[in-house]
Amino acid sequence: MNKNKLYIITLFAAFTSLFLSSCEEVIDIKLDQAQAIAVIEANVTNILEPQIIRISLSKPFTDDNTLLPLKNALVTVQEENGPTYVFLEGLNGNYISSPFSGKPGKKYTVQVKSNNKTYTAQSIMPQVVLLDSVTVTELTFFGNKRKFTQVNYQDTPNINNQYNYVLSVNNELRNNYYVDSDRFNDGNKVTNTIFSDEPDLKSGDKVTLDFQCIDLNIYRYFFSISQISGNGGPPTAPSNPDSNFDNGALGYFSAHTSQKVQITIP
Amino acid sequence: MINIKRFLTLLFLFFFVFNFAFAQKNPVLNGVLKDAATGETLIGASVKVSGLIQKGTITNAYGFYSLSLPLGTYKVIFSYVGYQTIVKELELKADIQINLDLSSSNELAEVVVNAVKKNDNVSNALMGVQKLDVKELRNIPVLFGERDILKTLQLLPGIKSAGEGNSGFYVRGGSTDQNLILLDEAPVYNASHLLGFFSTFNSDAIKDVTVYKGGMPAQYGGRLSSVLDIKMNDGNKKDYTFEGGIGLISSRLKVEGPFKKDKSSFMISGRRTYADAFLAFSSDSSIKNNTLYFYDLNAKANYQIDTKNVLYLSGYFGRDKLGLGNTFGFEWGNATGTLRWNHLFSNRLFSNTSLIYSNYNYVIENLLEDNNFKVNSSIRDFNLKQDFQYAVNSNHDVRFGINAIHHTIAPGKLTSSGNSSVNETTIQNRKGIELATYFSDEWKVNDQINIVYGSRLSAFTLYGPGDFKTYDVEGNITSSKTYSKGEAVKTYLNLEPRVSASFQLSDAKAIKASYTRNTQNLHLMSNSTATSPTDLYIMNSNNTKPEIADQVATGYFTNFKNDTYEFSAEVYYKWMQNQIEYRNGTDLRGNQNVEADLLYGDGRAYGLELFLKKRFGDFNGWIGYTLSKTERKFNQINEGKWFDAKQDRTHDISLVGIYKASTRWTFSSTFVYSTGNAVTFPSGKYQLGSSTVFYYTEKNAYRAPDYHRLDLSATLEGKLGKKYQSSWSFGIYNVYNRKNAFSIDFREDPDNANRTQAVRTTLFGIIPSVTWNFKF
Repeated sequence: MNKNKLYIITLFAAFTSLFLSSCEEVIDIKLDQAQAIAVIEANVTNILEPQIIRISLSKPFTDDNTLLPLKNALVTVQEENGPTYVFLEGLNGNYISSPFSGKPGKKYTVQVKSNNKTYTAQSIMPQVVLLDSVTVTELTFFGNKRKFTQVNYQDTPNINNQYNYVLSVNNELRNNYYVDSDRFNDGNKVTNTIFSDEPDLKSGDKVTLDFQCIDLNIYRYFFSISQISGNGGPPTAPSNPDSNFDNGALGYFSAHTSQKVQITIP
Repeated sequence: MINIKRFLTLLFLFFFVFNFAFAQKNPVLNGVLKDAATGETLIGASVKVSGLIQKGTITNAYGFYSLSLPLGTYKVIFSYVGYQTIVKELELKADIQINLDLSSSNELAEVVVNAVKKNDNVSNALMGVQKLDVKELRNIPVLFGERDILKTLQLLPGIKSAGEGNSGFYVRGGSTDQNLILLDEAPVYNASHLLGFFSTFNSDAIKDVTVYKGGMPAQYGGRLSSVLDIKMNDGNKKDYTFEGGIGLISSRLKVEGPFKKDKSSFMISGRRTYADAFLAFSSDSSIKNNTLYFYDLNAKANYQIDTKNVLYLSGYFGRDKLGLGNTFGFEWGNATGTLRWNHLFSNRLFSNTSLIYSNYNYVIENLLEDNNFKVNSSIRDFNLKQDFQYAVNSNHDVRFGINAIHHTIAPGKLTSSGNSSVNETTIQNRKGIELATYFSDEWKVNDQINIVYGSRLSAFTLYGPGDFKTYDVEGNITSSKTYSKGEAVKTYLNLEPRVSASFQLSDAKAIKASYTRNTQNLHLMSNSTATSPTDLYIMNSNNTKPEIADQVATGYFTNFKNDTYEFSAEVYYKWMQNQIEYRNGTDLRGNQNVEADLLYGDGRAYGLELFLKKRFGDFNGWIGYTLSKTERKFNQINEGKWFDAKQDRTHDISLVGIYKASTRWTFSSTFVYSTGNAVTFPSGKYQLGSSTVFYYTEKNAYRAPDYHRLDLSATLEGKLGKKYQSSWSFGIYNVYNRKNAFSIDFREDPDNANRTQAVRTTLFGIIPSVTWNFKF
């Protein structure tokens, strides 16, 4: 429902107007260097396409942010009572399958073997909720008019639905997770505003929205990350989000449905 | 209802045992002590007798004292800090009543000249107690010049601030919700305004502040860590007075006076901030339409029916409002009301009956048309207390009573209007009853040894209607049952024994020791790093058990140089059971099954507290030092190993100095230093999608930078002797502009997305303030 996003904006506005002396400064902090750990970003969608699983290693805080690929892993995805798909190593940690589409309602199991360790995770692909349209709205915050995209859809009644809105602006992925659930609007016609961060959307921007129906574990996974960063309300004490992978791997496995819509900001 | 019967039976049992065990042969000296100028009763004033035996007592919360003494001739000394001492000689042949008015003394030094022993702090068996002098508050520098009892309290050893400028506090390793904050006996559920920067207590309206860090007397219960007992002014019984102030953040006004001279009086005190008034100057309508303010109102009235009966009615109402034009609204606040009846059954049996109402609620409104909604959440108490204080004989003073509290928690009611996509839902209300009975005896064993022993028996029952679930350690539902209205779901019974003893080494030296057990049946759910108005209270249930703390403490107390200096050293160790944490990704908002996401574990805290105070003279003040450790242990966190709680600060120092330079100028300063909080910083990072996510190893294994700050203030009093008085207060917060970390965040470098950086947010740099106060 994104209400906490608003909450944060409000509090921020309140603080800045009241306490003008608040300031931010970049500082040096000595941080430990933890051992490199496998990070698996595994997605299977309901679109007939090569499915991609990206595997990398964690890095020290002081290193740059480029991906450190984990090489020579054996990667498979098995559909419940169905075929097993083999993923082959490509560039930059991407392991790619031949084109296949996941089926809503099916349970998928991913297995990654690397350095004598095996990591597995399971995810059930939710049923499709149809995205009706993506619209644009304009809101004013402390004198600034800001444009935001909105998703419009009819939620499926009587079951728990979780959504993730992945936003790309001019072909660049915005690094935020906009997870949502139907806890408060089950079965309704929903219009949800995506409170994307700066830079603000402007006329002519091409926005691609990937409207995903995700399972509950993945919802919680992304919700945890957004909470730590303060996007889900007041920041919580940080911890690693609960991964659905076993054996200590970071990352997640999400079998989700996907609907992509592109619009141009008017 | 069986519980009530059981309590009453026990209560009467206690009473009769004591009635028979100590036959009443001795006459009684009793009375009420008041301020001569205002008629306000004096709380904690000292009454000391010497003669056949040496004995002393202090006045209770209503200014009443009662001493049972053998027949004989005595010298009785009535004294109170800041007041002129009265000495009376009397021959005690029968019961006698002495009601006195003490005159305030502006020259504190005079009190010392009187050479009256002011060593109640040493001779009293209680330990871990500290009283805040409300008059002293005006001279202690604070943020924005807003006098604040909660922030001044944080300058005492063992009491730590919950964060920069925050009125929340931690006592001896407890969390902020483990403090029982009472305003005229009514529990205050959210003691802060504006997200913690100001406390809900307007110091104009406050008469007495006492904090118990350990060794709580048996009449208090319901929270683990501390009791903060705040009493409002009764209202001037002699004259009408007006008092107020204009400051940077808020303005205040207090009116008080007699309804009928010496019989009844009232007090009304209000305060409002006007940060949002500046918004109105903006020509931009979207700024103009924002709101941001708080106000509060304290009111009290009392009526002395006759010499044996007094009625008090007091109330508090406070509200915070935040609004963002026509998109968002948020407001919260407390309301409390207390009706009390003091009754003297005899000159040795004092009774107080209190009926208390307390309510805290918040409302969040989203006004966006497509998904507008409104969330209402509240916690409401009805509370009945019956307290007896009984001066049995020259060696025993007992106190006993009962307390029944009915709690209703409405976690969230979601409503919407128009074509909103939000469904209306209500999370089931929870109802519970806390019953407690207590008994304590202050036993003067001999001239050296004083013991206060007692116990509190508390029972908590959770009632239907509603669906009540039980969860396993993984958070999966194992059973669910629907209960009808009034049907008991779960009852917890706890015995809370308490004992404090002092051994007087000499007139001004004592060793004390105490053991206290406290339990807590209401728990605050807050998974954020700071307290927020939307934090949720839950009750004990099938899953959540009462929190229990056992604390042992011992200490050395001494006064020297004619009681001018006071020194104490206390060590404590505290064990805590059934502490609460959350699973990752817990969403507390509108969550019917919030208990599925809770983790239960243990806590322990130990430390040393040193306190040195210069009590009198032109220059006075104190130094407090705390060396402490606070840890938690949860099976599901940190591989089940002990980890530092976030409020664990190894060293904590506060220095307060007040210098009266002339009759008009007073200068003061405070300095605080503490080790940084235990925090979780990343030990690595990785990429997800296009963003960087941080990798954390051990919980709270890092330290925030040390915190320190110096504040100064100066007060200029108007010319004395006039009916009309005014004063100016000037203050500087954070004099040397220390950039203390409010938070340290890790993020991608905005200028180079390929790097990450640590960012320190400092809330308050150097901040000057000025306040003008008046009184007539």
